[in-house]
Amino acid sequence: MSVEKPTALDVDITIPLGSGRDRVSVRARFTLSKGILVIFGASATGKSLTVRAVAGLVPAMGRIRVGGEILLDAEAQVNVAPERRRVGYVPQHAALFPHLSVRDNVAFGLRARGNRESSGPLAEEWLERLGVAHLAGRLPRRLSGGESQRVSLARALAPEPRLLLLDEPFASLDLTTRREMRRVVREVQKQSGIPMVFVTHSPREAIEMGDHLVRYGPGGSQEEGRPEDLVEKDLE
Amino acid sequence: MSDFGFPLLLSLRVALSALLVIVPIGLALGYLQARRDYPGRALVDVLIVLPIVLPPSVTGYYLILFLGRKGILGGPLYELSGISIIFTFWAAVIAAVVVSLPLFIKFAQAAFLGVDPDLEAVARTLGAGPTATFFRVTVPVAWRGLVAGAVLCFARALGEFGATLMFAGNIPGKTNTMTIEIWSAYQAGDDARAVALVITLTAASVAVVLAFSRLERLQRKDRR
Repeated sequence: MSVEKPTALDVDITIPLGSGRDRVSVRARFTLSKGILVIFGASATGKSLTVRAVAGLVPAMGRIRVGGEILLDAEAQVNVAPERRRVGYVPQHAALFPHLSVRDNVAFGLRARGNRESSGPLAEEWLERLGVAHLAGRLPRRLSGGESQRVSLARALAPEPRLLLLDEPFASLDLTTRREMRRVVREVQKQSGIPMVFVTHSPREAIEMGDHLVRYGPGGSQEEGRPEDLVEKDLE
Repeated sequence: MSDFGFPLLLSLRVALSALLVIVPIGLALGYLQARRDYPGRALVDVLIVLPIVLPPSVTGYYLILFLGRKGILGGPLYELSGISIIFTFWAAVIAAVVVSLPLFIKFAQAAFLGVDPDLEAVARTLGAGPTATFFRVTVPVAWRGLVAGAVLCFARALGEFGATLMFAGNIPGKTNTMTIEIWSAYQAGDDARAVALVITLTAASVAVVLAFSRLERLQRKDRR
């Protein structure tokens, strides 16, 4: 895998929520030059919503730029559809397609982008890199939580996204598996150079994963900076 | 018992034709009701369920009112093109569609609600457009519920009587479906014929119930 030049992510969006009298909105503003950006904060502060908006899965206003390409510019009426954003997404519960084998899950994105012949071998290559090549023929319901997340990661990475979004991907895993998965993600990030956004509410995970951090606080407040500086007090 | 085959074939043809109309409409409406929020959604839900609770003769009357030769839509159609739907094969199909479509929509809606929206979200980020996502992820994941709905819907269409009698009539060799033929045979005192038809339809219904319960069991197993 060639190391790509540093890719910037610029997000400056407002995500409307609810309707009528219950109408509120989440404001998100941050930049990533390279590596992993951690979005850290308590639940219900809009972390998941932010990554879903970056993926184009929920409507948002404002601007999103990935690697110099504009994915959203509400004023200029640019809003690239999720299937054309080339932004990978790993949700909290791996969300593997239950009717497809592990291999076909990973090949899904390659086939969707028209890469039919080499999708099988490429899928297996990614499974190999994530240490789950032996599971290629299995159905997702026969996998453990850790195995599922490795496959989900392989599936998101296989079509070579410009940006990878991970929404609390290890929240339902045991501690040992979590630690192992953090190492895997860091390693893949270094090798591939794909910039990542990693959502978590665990201060330890935030420090371990993040090169850069955005802290979501109560009442829509946001701070941006080094992970060590921003979550130090949460560790005590 | 001479022309026993015609009503049987006719019933099958009507039910199959109805199913061909129902499945695409039902998939679209079922998905819409399961996944989208839009103004008037609750009203559409009521309209979908209505034919399930309306007496078939009332449904039949509405069909005549709308599609009869002097109907609201049927009138202009007849004047413009000379086409009259009432008392034809297609009238029987339309009656079957109207009474059994709601069943399929309800099943499709439930089946789609059982599909994790994250699966669709991930498929989109992997490069599949809305249509590809629907056919490669949503439908395959929901398929058992969809097939169960189609089976039940087919059975309902096969057993349709009231609305069909009103709208398609009882024209021998044209619109005398199995259920209508049972009624005619009974009226004419031809018990042997009525019993033979009754046994055939009972067997078909039992087969449907068995297939349906098997699908439901498999679906429960899938979710575990």
